[in-house]
Amino acid sequence: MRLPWFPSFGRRREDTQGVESRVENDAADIEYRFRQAWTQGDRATAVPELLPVRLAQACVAVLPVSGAGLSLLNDDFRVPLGASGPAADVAERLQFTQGEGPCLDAARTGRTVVARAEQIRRRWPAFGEQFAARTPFRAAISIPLPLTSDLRGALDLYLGEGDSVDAVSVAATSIVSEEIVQALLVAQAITGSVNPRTEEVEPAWLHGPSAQHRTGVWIAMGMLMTQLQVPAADALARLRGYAYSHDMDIDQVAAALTRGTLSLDNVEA
Amino acid sequence: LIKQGLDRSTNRGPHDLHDRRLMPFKGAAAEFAGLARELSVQPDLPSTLAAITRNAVETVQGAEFAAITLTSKGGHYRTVAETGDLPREVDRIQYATGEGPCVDSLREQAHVFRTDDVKTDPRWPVFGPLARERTDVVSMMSHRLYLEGDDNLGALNLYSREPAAFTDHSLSTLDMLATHAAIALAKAGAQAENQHLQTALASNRSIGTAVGILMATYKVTQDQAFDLLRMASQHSHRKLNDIARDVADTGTLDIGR
Repeated sequence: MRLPWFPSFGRRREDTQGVESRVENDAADIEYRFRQAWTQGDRATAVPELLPVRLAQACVAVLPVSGAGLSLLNDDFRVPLGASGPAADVAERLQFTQGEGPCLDAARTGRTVVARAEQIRRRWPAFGEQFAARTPFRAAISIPLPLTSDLRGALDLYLGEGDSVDAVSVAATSIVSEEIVQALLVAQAITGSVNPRTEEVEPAWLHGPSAQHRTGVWIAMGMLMTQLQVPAADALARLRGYAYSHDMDIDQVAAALTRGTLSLDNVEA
Repeated sequence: LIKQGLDRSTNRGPHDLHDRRLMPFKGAAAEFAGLARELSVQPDLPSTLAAITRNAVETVQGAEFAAITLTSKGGHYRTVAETGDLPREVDRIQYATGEGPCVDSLREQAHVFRTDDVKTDPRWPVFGPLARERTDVVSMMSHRLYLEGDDNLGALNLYSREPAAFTDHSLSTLDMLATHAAIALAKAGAQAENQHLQTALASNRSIGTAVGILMATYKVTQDQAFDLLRMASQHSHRKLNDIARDVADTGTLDIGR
């Protein structure tokens, strides 16, 4: 279905018959196929809040990769916007839990990071170990998303056993990332929704399930700050440490703390 | 003029369809994909506007000049980008008389207006003769730049010193261009406001942190902690965001203030 809330990209291209047969891997076709994929995708994700999920799923549809996710970086506090599926969600949480990984490097340096399996193990050993053990992915490509001059985000592409980093063309990833930035910004311009908690106008895609889930970590961080009388960065470090030593991800630790199934005292050590 | 004559004879409605079948889809897609990308990678609003007008003159048959009009909050019109000197003067006359294709495209139900000769067009009895007297303009075509849900309204205007310069083919090219232009403008607008996005991220985190601090301090639930923030916001007439940031920074909530 066409997204009812997003402007049409022009009738002529959408109405043209027999397009698929002529599709080749050049720039115009990647762009066209990517647009088709995210504007015509699943009805279940047609709401503005799930735009990042649609965009991530469209990446998997048009690029030779097995997973994708979008995230924003605000200092060290990373917010996932949406992912193509549960495994890509896990991969994001692992990067956040370990505080390292290709996405962080891409967002910090503003450059695309291509990480093959052996490079992941070498450059980010803690993340690499978990990545190999807990996801079906083996390699990753992270492309910075320049939403504004000072807001850093990244598109993570995850490659499985059968995928090859060499099959993912630089031209295609840069077109896709430009499309993503444009889609997010245009959606922000036309679907700014009021955050009911603060009454501020914010883009709807900032409040998808993935981003809301991460709020649990900020709550747990506040609880620990009070309990241990430490600053935010220290509280986050302790959450990370507990997650790492208990083979959990940081969002799981946070959820257990806020639900009360895990005592703050346990995290203190 | 010869080129125009040819255009007029070959580009009518049915021929447009014919063209579409003959022209490989990829060519058209590549052309507009390239255009869309050029518009979307402009670093800011002024260069986006300039790229749109430049592309309009290059791609729309018969267009000698192009300009973009934006409406301000008070309903005033402003020419914010143009190629050459002619558009500014023509637009000035449109705004002053409240008539003309640009003004109508922003005001009327139809989103595109085309005229073969402004002077003899019965729709604009004041603007037309005045524009012909004071400038060299003869043909015009204006298209509203508008995205559903977006409050900002603008128009893309094309001008020619020749009569009947704009064909049906010109019109459909403008139609396509206007869509890309509206998207590019919305994007540039959002990019300009994105300090705001940074703030939203930080304040969402502050609220979470503050809720956690209050939960641990007062042994309350998440909802109760949030209610405390809201109460403090109401009592102090300060934004909830600001209260939350204070709590996250200081570790305490001053409810009585």
